[in-house]
Amino acid sequence: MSIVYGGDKALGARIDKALADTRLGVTLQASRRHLIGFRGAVEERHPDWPERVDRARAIRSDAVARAPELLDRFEQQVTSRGGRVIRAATAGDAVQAVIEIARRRGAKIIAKGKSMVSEEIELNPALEAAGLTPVETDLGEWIIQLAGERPSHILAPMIHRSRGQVAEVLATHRGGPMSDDPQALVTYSREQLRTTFLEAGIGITGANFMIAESGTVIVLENEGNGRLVSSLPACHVVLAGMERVLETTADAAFMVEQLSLAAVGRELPSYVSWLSGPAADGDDGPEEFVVIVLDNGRSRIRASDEREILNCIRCGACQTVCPVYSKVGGHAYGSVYGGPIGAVLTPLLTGMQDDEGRKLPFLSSLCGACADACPVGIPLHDLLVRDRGLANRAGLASRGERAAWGAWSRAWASPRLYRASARAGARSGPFARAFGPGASWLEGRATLPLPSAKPFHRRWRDLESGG
Amino acid sequence: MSERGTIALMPTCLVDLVRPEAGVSAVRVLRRAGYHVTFPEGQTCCGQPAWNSGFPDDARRVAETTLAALAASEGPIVVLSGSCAATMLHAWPELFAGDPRLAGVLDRIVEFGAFLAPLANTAPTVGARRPVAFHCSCHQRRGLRDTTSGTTLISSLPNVELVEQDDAEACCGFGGTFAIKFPGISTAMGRDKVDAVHEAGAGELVSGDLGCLMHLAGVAEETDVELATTTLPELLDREGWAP
Repeated sequence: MSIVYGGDKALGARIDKALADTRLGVTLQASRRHLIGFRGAVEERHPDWPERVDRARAIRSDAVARAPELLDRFEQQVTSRGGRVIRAATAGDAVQAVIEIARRRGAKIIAKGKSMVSEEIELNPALEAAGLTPVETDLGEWIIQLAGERPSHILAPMIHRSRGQVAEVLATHRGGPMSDDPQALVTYSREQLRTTFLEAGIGITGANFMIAESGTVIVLENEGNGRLVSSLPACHVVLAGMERVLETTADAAFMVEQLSLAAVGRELPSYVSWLSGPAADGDDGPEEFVVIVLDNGRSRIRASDEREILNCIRCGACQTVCPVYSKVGGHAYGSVYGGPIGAVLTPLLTGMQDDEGRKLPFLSSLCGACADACPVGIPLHDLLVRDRGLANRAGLASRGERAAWGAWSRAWASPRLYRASARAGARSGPFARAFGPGASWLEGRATLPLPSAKPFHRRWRDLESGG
Repeated sequence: MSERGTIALMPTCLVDLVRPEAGVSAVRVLRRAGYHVTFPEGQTCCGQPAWNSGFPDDARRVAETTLAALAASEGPIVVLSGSCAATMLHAWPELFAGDPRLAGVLDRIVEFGAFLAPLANTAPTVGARRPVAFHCSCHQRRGLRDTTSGTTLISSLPNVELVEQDDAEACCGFGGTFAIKFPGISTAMGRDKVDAVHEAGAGELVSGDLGCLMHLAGVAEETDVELATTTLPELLDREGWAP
């Protein structure tokens, strides 16, 4: 499955590698503290934040529930303005659609704005295999493309790399020395990418939202590359998950603000593009406008009890604020989507069939910081627990693990056997220390708490008679 | 002796089995506060370990026993864990949908600190005070939406000084079976918590949740940080707290 790329290395090994990277932990912790700080300021500026979250949740739940109808309206609107909508059932269908457009237009260079869907469908390797040249134009995505890596955060794809590590990548690209001064790095990148914008035959962007009533695609960004990609090449292709749809312009205006507040703590990002079809005759802009709407498992999720995960607007706040993510970073998850959103979404997109993907819901302490940070009120910690059950049922839990929980639950369903297990537990010290959960507990903890020789329920009689 | 009425104590399996002293302290403190304490016969566990591990049927089987025991009790059900109280309030409606006993039990569930905090009076300071930090568990904070009960009670003690550790809202890394499945991440998170408490100048960490404390005690000892871990009932008992 393309969403999960970590299958070649075990989850435990990826985690160990991440934990050994102390700089990564410091960076991610600073980022987490930064988000907590600006979220506090946001809630001061918007004392109605809880009501805003409720409203956003209602808007998204309604749109996801009515997605087929809203997508039909969106398609009608786009078509009426001379654009085109392609429905892609699978990642392969979406990739094929892009390749066909490129072949028909004779395009070689494809300039890309930021798109998580393009990562999900592994677009770049497929385009390269077809003899095309995709170039990422978001600064972080570009560095990652040059380094042959995957993004490690939805919003800040190269947060795992230090300034020095960025300079190394650009020095290789330049074939000469590169200062790690941020201005020098940006200037070099800008010069290089400017050529791409002008030469590209096709520009590809993601979509933050699609508006059904107007056929508008909304793209949020902070670098201006998205605007260039969507306006300079003669053809603009939008890649959008089918759940991105909203009904009205008013809903979209509110959601743009909600997304930006959650992601960066500001009411608006630097660039908000409302794109509604190809340029009219004589105007600047693309002559061809195509929106590829991707399903790739989303309809199945929409029909399930876990459908609320489709309400996600990809702000990245749950990743940034997650104490587990902030210890190991996105690559440890081995999925295009890391952090709490990824831990819930990845196994659902792959129908609980991917061995690595279905381990991800367990990669959480269930502290609930993710759900609190979510601007659309997705109960991420509840969905993590639901996913764990689904993963176990799909075959993640070994026969031994299932048997152990079964034995535990039969014993503790009986007060008499519960008390017997307490007596047995109090005598099991050496065994518990050496094997199983006890041994895992002692990795990094010097003491293993063991059952008391006289539990509370045996002390109660004395207490009761004592007054 | 019982001018404030009767309560039903739910020590939770962890306190019952691993730190029974916390249960004994809770009984003493509740009695000092004027409550008649009962211990509903037959309670075992709220089912959280299985629930959070993705075994809801096993969770239901165990929790059923505890639900029956609590349903037969009277008065507020005082729980010695924010995490177990939150599990009952959030998971039980799903596990026992339509069960006629449920509403009568959930309405009475209250975590120990939250139960006593409204009775706290600020006591005058006497002499030197011992610095302690409080760890509000994530399920107390986000499951019960209670960040103040523990600190309110500690602040009312004349001989201890509540110090606040940096990044108090961060998870300590316990997370139940998470601590065993991913010990590397769990203990890395625990070290941050232990360091923050140590840097705040506290040699004692108090919490309403024993699970977090067991984890942090192990991490502190592993990293050679002197840190006493005390449950909230034990602290209130030791300090002679009374309304």
